[in-house]
Amino acid sequence: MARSFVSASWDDLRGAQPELAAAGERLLSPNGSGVAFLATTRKDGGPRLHPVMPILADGRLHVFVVTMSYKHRDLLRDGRYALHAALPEGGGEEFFVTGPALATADPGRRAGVTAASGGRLGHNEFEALFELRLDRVLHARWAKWGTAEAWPTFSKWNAPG
Amino acid sequence: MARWQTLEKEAPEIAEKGRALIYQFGTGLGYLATLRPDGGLRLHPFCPVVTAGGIYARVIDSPKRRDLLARRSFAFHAFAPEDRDDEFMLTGTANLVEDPQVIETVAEAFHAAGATSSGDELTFEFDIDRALLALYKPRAEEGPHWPPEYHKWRAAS
Repeated sequence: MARSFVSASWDDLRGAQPELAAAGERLLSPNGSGVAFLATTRKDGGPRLHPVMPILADGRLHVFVVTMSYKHRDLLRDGRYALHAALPEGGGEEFFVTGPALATADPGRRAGVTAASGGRLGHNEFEALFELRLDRVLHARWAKWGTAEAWPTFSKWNAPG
Repeated sequence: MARWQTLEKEAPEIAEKGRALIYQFGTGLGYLATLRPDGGLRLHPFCPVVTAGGIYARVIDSPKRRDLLARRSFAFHAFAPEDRDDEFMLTGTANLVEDPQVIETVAEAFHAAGATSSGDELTFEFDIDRALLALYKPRAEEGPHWPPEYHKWRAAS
């Protein structure tokens, strides 16, 4: 059973912090082709970490997760996740979100997410759809990336509530 | 829990291909998931170091370092290569290194691989509980690309 959280949709982030949302959309490439890393919580409370392909559809961030996987069981049991965008070429930026992942069985939503992935994802029954709700969002821009003087500037947003 | 050298001995293919994924861009790179004080997850890129039979991180003062000191549990995942989706993941426990000789050895390997340092890092060794290697077909090859070929290892308890 997923825990209860204060959380927001991607559209809520766009409304509150459009520049932060735009940075996320640029770095996540959320059309089913960009790779990001998803951390979930194992049964023993420790973290687990795997790549996923996020998809933005209808103002919400989603992932398909294979039902035979441990991360699927993690998300159904605990729901908490952290997602980090792959580093852009040359580095210098990070984009990171946390929140609860909510299993989504609505066929209309699923069809919309599959369409938003360019038809690449969501055709198989073993692909379970989750909405990644947001409670914290962080974007870091690093000055002097790759040097000993590297220093980040952070933009952050927490879901209201 | 086991050191990297035990993984090398008991599952050499996982260790060899895992090491190649870690160092595919020269400097060691990967993502590190840690546990926040509220039990939630934190996730950031970092520069692992494989040397002297261990896998290590040098971590500046940060929430991630405080997570490693207080709760210790970690998951590591290497970056994927350019042409395929190969995965290498480790889970286990981080231990603060206090031996000055080991700290120096790790720092030398860290800098030799091209990483930079602010000089105020703490050194952690990752004791490994589980290792997972997933080998995929290149994306340019005809599918299906899933499932990959999985190789798993678990430390003796």
